[in-house]
Amino acid sequence: MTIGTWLRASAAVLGSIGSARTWAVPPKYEGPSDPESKIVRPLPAEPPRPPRLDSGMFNNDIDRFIAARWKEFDAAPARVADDWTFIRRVALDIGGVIPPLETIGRFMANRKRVDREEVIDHLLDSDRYADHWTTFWGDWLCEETHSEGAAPFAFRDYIRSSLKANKPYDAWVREMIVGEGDAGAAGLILRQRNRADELTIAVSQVFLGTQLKCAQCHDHPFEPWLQTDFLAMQAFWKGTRLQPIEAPAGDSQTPGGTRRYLTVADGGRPSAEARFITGAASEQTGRRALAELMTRRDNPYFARVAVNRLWAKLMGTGLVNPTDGFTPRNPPSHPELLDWLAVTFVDSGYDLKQIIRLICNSRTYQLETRGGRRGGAPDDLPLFETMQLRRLTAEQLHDSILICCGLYGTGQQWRPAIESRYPAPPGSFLATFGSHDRQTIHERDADGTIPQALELLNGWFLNNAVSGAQHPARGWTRAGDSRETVATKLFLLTLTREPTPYELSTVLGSIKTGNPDENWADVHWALINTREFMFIR
Amino acid sequence: MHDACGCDDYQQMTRRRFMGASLGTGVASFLGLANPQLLFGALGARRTAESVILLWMAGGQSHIDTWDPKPGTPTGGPFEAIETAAKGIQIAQHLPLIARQFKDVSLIRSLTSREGSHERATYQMHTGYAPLGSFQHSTIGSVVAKMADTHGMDLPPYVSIGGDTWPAGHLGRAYAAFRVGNPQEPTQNLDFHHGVDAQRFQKRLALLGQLDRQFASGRAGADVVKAYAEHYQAAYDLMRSRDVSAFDLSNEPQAVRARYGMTFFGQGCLLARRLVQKKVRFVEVSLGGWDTHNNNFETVERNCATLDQALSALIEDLRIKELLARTVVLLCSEFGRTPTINGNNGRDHWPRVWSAVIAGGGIVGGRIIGASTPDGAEVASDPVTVSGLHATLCKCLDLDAKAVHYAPDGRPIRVLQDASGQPPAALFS
Repeated sequence: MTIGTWLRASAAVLGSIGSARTWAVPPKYEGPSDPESKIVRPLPAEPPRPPRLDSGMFNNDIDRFIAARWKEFDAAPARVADDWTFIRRVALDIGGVIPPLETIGRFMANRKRVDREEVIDHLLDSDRYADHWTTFWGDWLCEETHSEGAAPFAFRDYIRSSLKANKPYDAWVREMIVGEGDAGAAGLILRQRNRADELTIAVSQVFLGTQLKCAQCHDHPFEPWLQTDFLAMQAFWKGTRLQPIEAPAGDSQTPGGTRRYLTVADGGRPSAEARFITGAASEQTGRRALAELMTRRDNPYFARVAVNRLWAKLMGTGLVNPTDGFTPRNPPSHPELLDWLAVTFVDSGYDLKQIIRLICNSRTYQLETRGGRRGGAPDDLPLFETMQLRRLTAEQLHDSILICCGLYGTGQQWRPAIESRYPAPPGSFLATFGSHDRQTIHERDADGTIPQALELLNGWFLNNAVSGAQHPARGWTRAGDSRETVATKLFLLTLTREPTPYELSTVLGSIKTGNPDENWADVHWALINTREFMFIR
Repeated sequence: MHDACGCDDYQQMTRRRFMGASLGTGVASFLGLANPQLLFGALGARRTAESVILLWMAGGQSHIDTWDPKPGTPTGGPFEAIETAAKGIQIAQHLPLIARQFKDVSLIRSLTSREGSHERATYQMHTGYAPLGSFQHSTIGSVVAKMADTHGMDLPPYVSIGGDTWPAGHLGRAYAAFRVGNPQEPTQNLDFHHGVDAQRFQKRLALLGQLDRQFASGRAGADVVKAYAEHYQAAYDLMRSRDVSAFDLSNEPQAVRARYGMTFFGQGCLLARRLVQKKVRFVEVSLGGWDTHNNNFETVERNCATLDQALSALIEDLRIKELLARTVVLLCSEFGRTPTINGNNGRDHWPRVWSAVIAGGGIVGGRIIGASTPDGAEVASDPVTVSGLHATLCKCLDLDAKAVHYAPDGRPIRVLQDASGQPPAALFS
């Protein structure tokens, strides 16, 4: 590498640290946040108007915003995915598992076209929505099964029931910051052991989408946060203490166990030094003030960060990346779309399901994972012209294997991920596939590893799951299904599609001789080990 | 190979005979040599280390209550100091077994950094870089795996036992750690599942190969999908490798296993020794539970019991098996803990000064590098930065600390962020 290239390369490194990034933001918009300012721009009073485009197909306004940027760069989107692909994708994204045969039958049989809105509504109404998204919120809130001062699973049950009831997000966050509300609301404070510094790091990262933690010990290396900002935010937690309480009725202590129960209470004077990073003020003090300031409409981060997290989970990439990188120097790829989603979210009463509904109903979400053209767009600008291929999370993989082996909820050994201990013990199936450590807030690692391959090749979980007596292939065979039918049903159940003629003949060829139960176990093992199973196509 | 022919024995024996300064010059002058070093040179100079065992104390290990005791001071806490086998070195009372090994072990008491958050400090200790936005550096383990000669090696060059998953970083997946979740799990899934014999396994693999072909091509994110196939191949190769039995601790006598302690960490250290015997280049073994904001002394005492047993067993075992010269053992944590004891009888994060322990790989034992102030709050002399620590590893392994590697986007990344990091000379002579 010549000195010249090295200098340019270093400049790129230094440039990305020192200066603001420009996405060539469309000029018509009011303008992104001023890169020199400390705080992002306030939320507009009304949702930005979607651009008027002469041609194109749109399911909702999300598509108009997205399409406007395609037009700018002369990009072309992929085709819309077929019904099989759609139903698998949305079942995994909303409910966390592949669609069981009953779901497939209900929506796909005897119809010319699937009513996609209906599928989305059905999934959002099911219990699985809460179970699946409890995992993500648990990651962000660092929920642990055994947290000092709380009953086991208390925080998780709180998150799960809040999602199930579709509790307005602002109310939910206020409950967690104050530590009062439904049972388990103290979970966030208890998890962080009422340590003001850890709580400050947590709430700023999860709810404000900022890495204030870098300013804990010194001024932030390249963002405008000062250590005084951190200390001012930390001061909101003064005047909060943990108070021992009686164990709840029916608590089964282990013999000689010393489980303490704690609750959040006021104690000591709140600090006068507390100051919210936007400079906004509140009549209240202490953590109640923080709760109010955090969830008020004049907090420009709150709604944007939340909708961005939902978008990133569903689309594979956020409109702001990383999702905790909300600063004026890191503008969104689609600023009007982000604001449209954020204001819509606020106006809906902070309805999380509604945002998921809007995103999943958009044409953009329903595109295929191949075929789009980026045109002249810069390489690192998210354009969403093609749906991103995403790997199943550990929980989705675990539970989907249970579904297609007929084992979901059939006993302690086959309990779904939502009922498992978190963080998952090292070496367990969930941990091997990247279940979150719940220690700090970070993205899960989706890289493949050798232990993952070994787990699927030789591990007890998959091997036992495909060989069990309740395996669906055995039932079908006993009920008189032909081999072709059993093979086809296995494909439908596992890959949510029918086999190609080549695949069908390959499978039938492999089961000609030998024990039929073992044969079908081997076929199923192979299907689950394919990469098609592992990724959301 | 050297173990087999006894070369090490010979070198140890002759070195001992000539090492003592007065004795050495006496004999050397008797032999008519002006420079005794020439004699050492002829017999074999200090060999470079080949492997690193990093013992990672996760959470911020209190330096005052372990390696840098301050008994009788306001910040010293209740622990007393005990003598070690090295003259002039005292450590805290709950590490008696490793104290006996201190002829081979040295201390760095002047580690210092600016990072006081777990995530940032852990990142810095592992990669040598302060976290830089969203760019992900590879850890020092990956760097060693890449730079070391791994020709003909069957096992992964970099193994992590019990630690967090690290993203592969700028050097890519090829040098990412092979994670062992639970070292006591006998085969780590490296053996066929019972009920599946070799023939059935082959049949399954063949079917998988036929069904898996089409998926990746042309899809957005296809390289991620392609990488998955590589892992399957690598996993399969590992299953059939001749050294795979290294992972199976049941091959060790029960007495040896008990000596390390039947704890996760203890068995992890034993596994590390076995892997290093098979020339794995970098093994990290993690021991958590050091984040003692509450109840510091009780917790540290408990953790030290586990640590003391495993660490002393490891050093002794490496010495007996003649692996100590070619294995650097580095024990460290992301920061130390406050001298001031807080209201919960705990200590909080403290990166201004803390300690690390280093042994083997050519390191001279029984040395102390640097010192902290009498209250254990600041560096008093000879500060060592994270870069200095990494530079020490590079020197032991004879790797070029100034080498540059390239990230996928062409960025040059030096091995050390801070070029001024110098390995403390007293560790080497």
